[in-house]
Amino acid sequence: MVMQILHDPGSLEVLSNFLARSYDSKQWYELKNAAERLSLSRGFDRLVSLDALDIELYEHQREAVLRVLRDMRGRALLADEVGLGKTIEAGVILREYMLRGLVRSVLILVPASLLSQWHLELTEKVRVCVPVGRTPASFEKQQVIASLDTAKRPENAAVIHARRWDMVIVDEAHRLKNKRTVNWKFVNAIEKKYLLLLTATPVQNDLSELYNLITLLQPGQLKTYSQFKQEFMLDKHSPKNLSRLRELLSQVMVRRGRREVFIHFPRREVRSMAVPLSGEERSFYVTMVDHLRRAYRAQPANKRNLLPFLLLLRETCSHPAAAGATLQAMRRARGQKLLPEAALVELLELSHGIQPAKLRLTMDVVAGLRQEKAIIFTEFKATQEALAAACQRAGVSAVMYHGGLDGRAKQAAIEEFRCSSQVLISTEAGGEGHNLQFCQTLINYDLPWNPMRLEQRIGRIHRLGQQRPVLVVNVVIEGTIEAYMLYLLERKIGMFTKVIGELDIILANLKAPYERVIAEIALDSRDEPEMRERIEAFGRELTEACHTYERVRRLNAQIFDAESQTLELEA
Amino acid sequence: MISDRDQQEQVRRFVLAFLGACGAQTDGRRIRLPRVLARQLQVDEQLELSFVPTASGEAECITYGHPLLDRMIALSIRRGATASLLCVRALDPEFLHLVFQDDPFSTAETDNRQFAWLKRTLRRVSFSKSQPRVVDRSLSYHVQLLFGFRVALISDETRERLMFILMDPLTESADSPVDITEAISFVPVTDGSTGPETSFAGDAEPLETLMSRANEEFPTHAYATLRLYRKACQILEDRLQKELREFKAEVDRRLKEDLERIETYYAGLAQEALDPLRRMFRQMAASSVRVQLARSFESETRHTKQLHLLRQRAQALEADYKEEAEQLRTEMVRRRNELTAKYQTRAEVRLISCAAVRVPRLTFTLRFGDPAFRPVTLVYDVLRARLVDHICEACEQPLSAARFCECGDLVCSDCFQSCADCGRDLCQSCASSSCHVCGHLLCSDCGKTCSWAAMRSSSSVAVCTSCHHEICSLCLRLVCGIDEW
Repeated sequence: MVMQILHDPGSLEVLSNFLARSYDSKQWYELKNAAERLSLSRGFDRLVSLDALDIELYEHQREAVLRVLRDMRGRALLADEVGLGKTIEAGVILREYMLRGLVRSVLILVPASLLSQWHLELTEKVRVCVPVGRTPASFEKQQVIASLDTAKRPENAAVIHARRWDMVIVDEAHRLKNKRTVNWKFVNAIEKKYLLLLTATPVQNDLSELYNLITLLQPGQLKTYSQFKQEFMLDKHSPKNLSRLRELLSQVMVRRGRREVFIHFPRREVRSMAVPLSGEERSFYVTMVDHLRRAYRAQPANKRNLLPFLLLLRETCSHPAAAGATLQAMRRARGQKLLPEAALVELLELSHGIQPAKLRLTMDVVAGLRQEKAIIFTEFKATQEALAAACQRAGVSAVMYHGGLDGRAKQAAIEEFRCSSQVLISTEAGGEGHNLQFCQTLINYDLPWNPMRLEQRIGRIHRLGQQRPVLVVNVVIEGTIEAYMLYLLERKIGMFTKVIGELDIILANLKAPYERVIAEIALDSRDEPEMRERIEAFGRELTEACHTYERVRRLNAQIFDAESQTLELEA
Repeated sequence: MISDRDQQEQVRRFVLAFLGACGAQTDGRRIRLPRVLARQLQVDEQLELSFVPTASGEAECITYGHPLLDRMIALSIRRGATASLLCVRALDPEFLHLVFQDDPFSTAETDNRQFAWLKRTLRRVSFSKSQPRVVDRSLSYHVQLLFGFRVALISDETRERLMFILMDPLTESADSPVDITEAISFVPVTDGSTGPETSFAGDAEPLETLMSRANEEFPTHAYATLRLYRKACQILEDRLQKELREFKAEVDRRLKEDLERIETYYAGLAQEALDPLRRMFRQMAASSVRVQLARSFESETRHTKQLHLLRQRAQALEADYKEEAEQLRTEMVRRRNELTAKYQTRAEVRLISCAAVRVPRLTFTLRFGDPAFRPVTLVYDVLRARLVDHICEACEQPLSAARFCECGDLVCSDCFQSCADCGRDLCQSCASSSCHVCGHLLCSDCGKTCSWAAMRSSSSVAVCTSCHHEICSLCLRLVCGIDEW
């Protein structure tokens, strides 16, 4: 016998029913056979998952997925340049394997900052619901998504290494560049059938990083390190025998540059508008910042909890009503309070009846759109309600969208926006997974302190498939921390001109998380000049991070992209 | 490979048939589902469906892999595993009328295709010089079992297909497939027989294990069905062999390539791990030479000390090497296991459906004018347009064209001969002898005895008249020297 032929015991169930003469009608008999036929898996001749998904793969993505399935047999380094859709490629590959019954257990390792984004994209785009893994018990499930840092904790790693995984996906795989690190050893020790590594920059500093990644994927593909050095390295940074190296890499790596895939992104216009604080607003803002700074500094340096301060500061920049709601809650709360009672009372009094200048400016922007549809993003429910009331007063049809709505209500809100309303006022939950490309204007009423969220907001309308130019309006109040933040994002990172996906790589080059640094600057600075100075210093760090990213991007293009090298040589 | 268009057409037909079976009301693209079905499919009772991906409007486009289609497939798969079918619609009423009223052996032309085919088939049976007369004809339904299998070839990719095997309980062999699209459901009166109460679950197992389990669990009256199922599985396995061989060869090629790569890589690493030790041995050799060539006691002592130190370091390096080599070996085994698991091949077979198919058969009883011929029964399979159970009574091979021999046996052309002397119709079994020279059959009344053989032994050896004249006379003249016996 060529190979073992096994028979499913379920067959006896059918025979048993047949013997019991519990016959079904011919109609159902034929339907069953037709259903079985439709659910057959026939190798990798076509992508069967695409028909059911609300995504349109670009030709380069389709090719990449088929190459990984057919030629690379599920072990590949997806190294497309930023913004070309590696995540979606990995998602489709996973779905294809799952549909064919070849993958049941999957472990997805991503940076903590991308965890929710991955979870969302898998659920809504690829329709694979992967729970987030945090505890050892959660890693016993069939499908888990977790941050690499969580997964490699000894208690979790023990569970992960004790079992077999059908597929492992690692995003931002350049973090596995060093063979001696815990990260590399952790992933190497996982028993897996298929492995997908995702990174736009396989080489960060030197060629050994590329060797380590490929060896993790396919040991022996580039032979031993000494042989690799001898054959392909002039020195740490310069490759030789490039054509042979590329040939070997092409067997396990998919990489396309932006020049190679002619994707048309519509123009993105960014207008940032600053409005001065009104008298009562200024008094509320200054008092709030003053109290927060005092309370923050009063905490022991090693036990400072930044989050509640951050929340109040963000709310103050958004709308006094949003901050007012939190202050009320703080007053009602028992136990130790963030601010003294007197300060809470004072701030609550000051917050009453303020008509923010930002709101007036936003309504002017909406009026200037001349019935064009717009999405207004805010982070807070109270601000959302204030915006809705302002729209109503101005006779602008608006619909609210927030995380408190159930699935049907969310769908209905999007439909209403599509069909009749001019404005969609949305919190962060806004339109995730929905097709909002019929709208071309986005107003950031308040800026999220995490730039990744800002990128996600823009990505809602400025994405592959958008046909018309997109307008992004940022509304900030002069002199507030929000204005400084906009300054950093716009001038130092150049965020609004970057391709979606680049920001995360740049921010990963920072010493501390962006959000935390900004909050510390706001709360820890003694006065305005000190704050300005610290903002400038942070700006320099951001610029340096951008340069580092640019250098790495060029190095990768030089090694992997034949076209770019030719262009550089010609230059 | 199925084209996207064909697949979409399959999807369309399936969805419409499913909705029809579930009692949904369809009005163009708009569909109204019964409440229970809507709940099962997790959709509203009012639906608008389309099957063209580019169709505009609000209609939900159902394509392969759509969750709604998946739910329909899941619901359909849960039912319809067994059926009892009656292929009654295959019978044209006019054909039946002709069968029962007309003479199927007459040479008159007929416009009815089925009847014309029947006549042509019957005409291929030659009854020598006797004209048959149909004395009885009847229509009956013969039960055959149609087993539907889902076969999966599994390795680092999965290839699945459906295979259907129609088993004939009388011959216990696979019969050619019949078109059951025109069949109707037919539920016979139950005889109270039941299957086992046990639930069958667990991992897939070899056929023999499965069947021994079935023999234990199933009641005795199930024996015939189980036996037939086993035969069907054996036929299926035989039919699969070629495909399995090709699939395995492909997988083995990939596995071999990967294993070679892994082994070369780890062999290279092991060699590299030896490098420090090699360098140390070279240093030791040099040091040892220095000891031998030392001109003074001091330099000899110094070099000996150095050599001793190098020996100690070499021992440490050797221990390191052993540890590293062990690690490499463990890692290589793990990688090999990973690959072996990835490329492990197996075929899994699952019985998805089993149907009793009742195929119509016409039975004709024939009598002949010659009283020597016994009555003959011919059974005609209407769907397959062929005579069944029709084997040569001499050699027992399937009979495509048959003839009656003198003694009344129906034999094939190969077994049929005429008597070499008188020309009477004979078969191998009713011939009394055959010519010793040319091998032709001879009836009991004919044939001559070989003179020369008769002289040498007591038993008579037959020869036909022709051979007797041509050969035996010559033989007598040459061997015995006589002109006539």
